Amino acid sequence: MNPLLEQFLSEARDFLHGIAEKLMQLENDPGSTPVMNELFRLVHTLKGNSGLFEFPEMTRVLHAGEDLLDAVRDGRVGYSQELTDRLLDAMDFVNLLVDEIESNDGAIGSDHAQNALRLAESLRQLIGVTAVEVKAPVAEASQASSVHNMPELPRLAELPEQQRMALYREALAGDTLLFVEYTPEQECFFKGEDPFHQARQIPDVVWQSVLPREPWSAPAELDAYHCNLVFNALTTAAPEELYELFRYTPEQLRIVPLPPIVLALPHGDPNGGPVYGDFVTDALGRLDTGDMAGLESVARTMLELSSPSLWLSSGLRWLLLVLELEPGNRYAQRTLIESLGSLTLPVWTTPETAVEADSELVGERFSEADARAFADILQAQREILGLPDSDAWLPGRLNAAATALAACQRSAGRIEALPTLEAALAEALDSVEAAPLLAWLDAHAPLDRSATAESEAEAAPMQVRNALIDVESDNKFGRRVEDSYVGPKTLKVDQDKIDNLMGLIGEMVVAKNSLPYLASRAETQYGVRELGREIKTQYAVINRIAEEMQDAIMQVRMMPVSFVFQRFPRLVRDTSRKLAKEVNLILEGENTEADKNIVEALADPLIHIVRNSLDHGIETPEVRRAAGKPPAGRLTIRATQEADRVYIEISDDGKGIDPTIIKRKAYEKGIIDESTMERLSDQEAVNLVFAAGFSTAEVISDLSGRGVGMDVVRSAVEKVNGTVSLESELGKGTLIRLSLPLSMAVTNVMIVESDKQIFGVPMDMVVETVRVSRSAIRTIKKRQTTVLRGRIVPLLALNELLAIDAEPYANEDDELATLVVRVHEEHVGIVVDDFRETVDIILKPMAGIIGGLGGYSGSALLGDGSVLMVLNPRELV
Amino acid sequence: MKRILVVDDAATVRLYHRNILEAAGYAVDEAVNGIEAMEKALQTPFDLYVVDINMPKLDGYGFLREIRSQEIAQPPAIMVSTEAESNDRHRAYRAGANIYLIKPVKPDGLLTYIRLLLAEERT
Repeated sequence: MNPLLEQFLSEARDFLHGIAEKLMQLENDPGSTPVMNELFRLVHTLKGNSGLFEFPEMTRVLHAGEDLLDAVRDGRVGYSQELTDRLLDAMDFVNLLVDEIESNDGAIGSDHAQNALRLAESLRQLIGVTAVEVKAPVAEASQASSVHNMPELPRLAELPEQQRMALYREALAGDTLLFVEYTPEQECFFKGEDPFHQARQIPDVVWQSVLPREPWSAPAELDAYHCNLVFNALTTAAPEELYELFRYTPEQLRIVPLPPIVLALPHGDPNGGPVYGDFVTDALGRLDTGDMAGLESVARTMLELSSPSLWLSSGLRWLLLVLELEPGNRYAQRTLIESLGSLTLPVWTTPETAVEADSELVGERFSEADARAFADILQAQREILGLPDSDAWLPGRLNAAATALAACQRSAGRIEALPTLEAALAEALDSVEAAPLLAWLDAHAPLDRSATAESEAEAAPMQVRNALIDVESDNKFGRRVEDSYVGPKTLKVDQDKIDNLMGLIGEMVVAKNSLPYLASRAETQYGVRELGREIKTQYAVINRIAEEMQDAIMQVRMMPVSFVFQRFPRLVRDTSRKLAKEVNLILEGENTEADKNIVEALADPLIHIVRNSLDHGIETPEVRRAAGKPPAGRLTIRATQEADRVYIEISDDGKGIDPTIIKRKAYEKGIIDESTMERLSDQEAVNLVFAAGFSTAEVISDLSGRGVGMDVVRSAVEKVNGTVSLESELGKGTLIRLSLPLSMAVTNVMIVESDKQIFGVPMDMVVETVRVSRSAIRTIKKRQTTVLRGRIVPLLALNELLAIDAEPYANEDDELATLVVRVHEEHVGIVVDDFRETVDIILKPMAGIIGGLGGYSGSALLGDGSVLMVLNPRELV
Repeated sequence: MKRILVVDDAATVRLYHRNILEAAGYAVDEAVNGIEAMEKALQTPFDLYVVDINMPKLDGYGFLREIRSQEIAQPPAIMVSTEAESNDRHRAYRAGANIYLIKPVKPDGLLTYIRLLLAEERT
C-alpha cells in the first residue's frame, strides 16, 4: 500500500473517532457552536481527503454529511436525535469502507454503491427540498463556470451554418443560449434513472452530444452497469426549466450561459487557403480606424470573389453578420479577421472567462495550460486589486499581488514590464490604494488583447536588470532556512513494526540468556576460569542494556485505556435508547495506560459488563422513580493504576444482584446442589454469576442474553493474567472490579520437572512449593488430598494431567515435590518430580495446530536454545 | 531551492502536496493550522504558501490576513479549498490569497500555477 493511502486510512480513523465523539457531545449540548464547527470541520476535511482517491462511495456519503452539517450550522436545519442517528450510521459505513480499503489493499468492493446511495440520501432528506431550491439557478450557473471550470465548448461547428446564424440572431435578440452538461451518476441505473431519456427531455435543444467520460475499458472488463456517459446540449430553454427537469439531481447538471458569439465558427472547404495577407492588414487597419463601412465593403467584395463553399467564405459571412448585429464588438470582429488569415477556428471563451489564454504566449515557453493559468492568475490579481482598499492588511495584499504579477511576467519572458510594475507598487503603497497597480495591469495585460506585445527592442537592457533582481531575490530567499526545520513531535508507527521490534528484543533477551551457559561451559568444560568470569561481567552489562531496552519498548507499547473507553458513549447511548432507559455515563481515568495487548483484550469483557449493567442493572425510569431514585441511572467506568496493576471499576446505581434469585437460578440450572444452596453466603452467591452458562435476565433480551455470561468475561480477563471481582448491594447497585497487569510481555515462570521434561508455571499463580510426605496424603472422596496450614488441598499429579505414563518421583525421604497454585481462588497442589529456578521469559502464544491445546498458555525459548512449554493451570486442573 | 509552506490540518493532504511538490524539486515545510503557519512563516521566509481554508485554531483566511499584516516579504499564496463558491473566492482574495483553486487539485494543474507564481520558466 502506498504511504499516502496509509496516511489517509490512519487519519481517517482518527477523524471518525473524533466525529463520533463530537456527535455525542452535541447530543448533550445541541446548541454548542464550537462543537458544531469542529464536527463540520472533521467531516469536511475527511471528505476532502477522500477526494484525493477514487473512493466515490465514501466521498458521496461524507459529502452528504457535510452538506447536512453545513445546513445545521447555518440554522437551516434544526438539530434532532435522528440527525445524530443517521450521521452515526453514515460514519459506521465510512468506517467499514476504511477497514475494507485497508484489508483489500486499497480497493472498495463494488457492493457498497447501494448503501452509499441510501445513506447519502437519508442524510440529504434531512436537509429537505427547500435547501436545494435556495440556490438561485442562474447565479449558480454562472458560478459554475468559475475560473477553473471552463467548459469544454461543444463542437458547434458541426451545426449547419444557417442554423447557427439563425440562433445567433435569436440569441442577440434576447434568447439565452445555455450549454448544458449532464453527468449522470455512475450508479444511476440502480436508482431507476434513465439518463438517455432524461437527456432527451431537455427542451429547445439546438445541439446535443453523448460522450464517454473516461475511455471505454476493454470489452471483457466493461461494467455495463456503470454509466460512463456525459451528455452535452446546447439549448435556448430558460434555466428554470432545466432546473425543474433536473430537480432530483441538480448536482449532476452544469449550466453555462454562452455568449452568442461562440456560434461564429467558420466552416467549409479549407482548400481555398487563407485569405490574402494584405486583406487581413487592410481589414485590421480599417477596424482600428473605425472605418466600419469600408470594412464591410472589402469583406463583401472578397466574399463575392470566393466560392461560397470555402472555409474563408464562411468566415467572411460570419464577419459580415457580426458587423451587422454587433457592430461594437471589436474583439469579435478582430478575432474573426485574424482567423481568416490563419485559417484556424477562432477560440471563443465564455463570458466569465474574460480569462482567456493569450495565444501569443503559447509556444516554446508556454503550453496551452500554462497560458490559461497565466491568464487565470492575471485575472485573479485584477479581482484582488479591485477589492476595497479599507483593509488594514492592504499593503501586504498589494505586495503579494505585485509579487504574483511580477513572477508571471517573468515566466512569460515579459521582463520589460517589471520596472514599471515596481514603480506602480511603490506608488500604490505610498498612497495606500490599489489603483496604481490596477492601472499598470490595465496597461500591460488589458482584458482586450489588442494592446499586447510591446516593442521587443527594449528587452535587451532589461534582461540585465532582470538578472539582478533575480540574484537579489535569490539571496533573500536563499538563506539556509531549511536548517531550522522543526519536525513533528509525535510519530505514528505501524503496529506491526512495534510488534516486530518487540519480537526482536525478545530474541535478544533469549540470546543474552545463553551467556551464563557459555560462561559455565568455559569454566567446567574448557577449564578457562578467567574467561568464564569475563563473560559473566560482560553478561551483566548486556543484561542491563537488554532490560532497559525491554522497558523502553514497553513504554512505546503503552496506550491509554481511552482507546477502549471511547466507544462507550456511543454504546451506552444506543443501548439505553433501545431499552428505553436513561443513563448518564461517567468515564474517569481515560489516560491510564497499559500495554497494547492488555488494553485490546479489555475491550470485549468491558463491553459485555457494560451491556449487562444496562440490561440487568439499571432500571427503567418508572421503576427508578418508584424506588425513590433519580430517573436517570448512573454508570461509572473508572481506570486507575496502582503499582504494576491497572484497575478498572464499572459501577452502576441499578437494582443490584439479589443473592436469593441467583441461588435459585443456579440450583435450577444444576450449577449447585441443594446443600450448597443453603450453605452459600450472599457474597459467594453473587459470585455464581461467573459460573459457566449463567444468565440472570428474566427475559432474554437481544443485548446480553446470548447464552454467554460473566464466565466469558472472567476467562477473557484471566487470559491476560487479570482477575475480576464483583460486589453488589441489592437495590443500590453493582461494582465490578478488574485487576490487570500493566504489561504481559515478560512473564516470570517457575520451571518444574516431571518425567525428565521441564515445564514452566507462571509465578503469579504459584502460592508455595512444598515437599509433601507420602504418609501425609489422604484419599478423600476418591481424590488425593493433604492438609497444608489447616486447609485441605487437593493434589493432582502433573504426569496424570498431561497423560504421561510415569509414577511421581519421590526423593530419599519419600516426599513428593508439590507446587501449590491458586486456581479460581482455590489452592490446588500439583505434584511434580522436582523444582528448578525461576526465569523471565517472553511468552509466545501457541499458534497453528497446537493453538487449541488448552493446558498450555504458550511457549518460550530458553537461554540454551531449548523450548519451554508454559502450563496454564487454570485449564489444566 | 524554492521553499513552499503547505498549511493544512489534514495530514493526508499535506502528504499529497508534499509528494507533488518535492517531486517537482521544491523544499516543503508543513503547518497544521494558521497559528503554526504564522510561527513558521515569521521564523523563515518562504517563496509560496499553499493554504487550506477550514482549519482549527486559525483558519486559512485568518492566517493570510495575519501574514499580510506583517512587514515581511509577501510571497504569493495559493488557497486550496473544497468550497466551490465564488463567495469563498472573494473572501480568499480579500484575505490575501493570489489564486483560488478547488480540491482535489490535480498535480499538473497545481504545478502549472506554482511555476508561474515562482517565476520559473518551463522547459
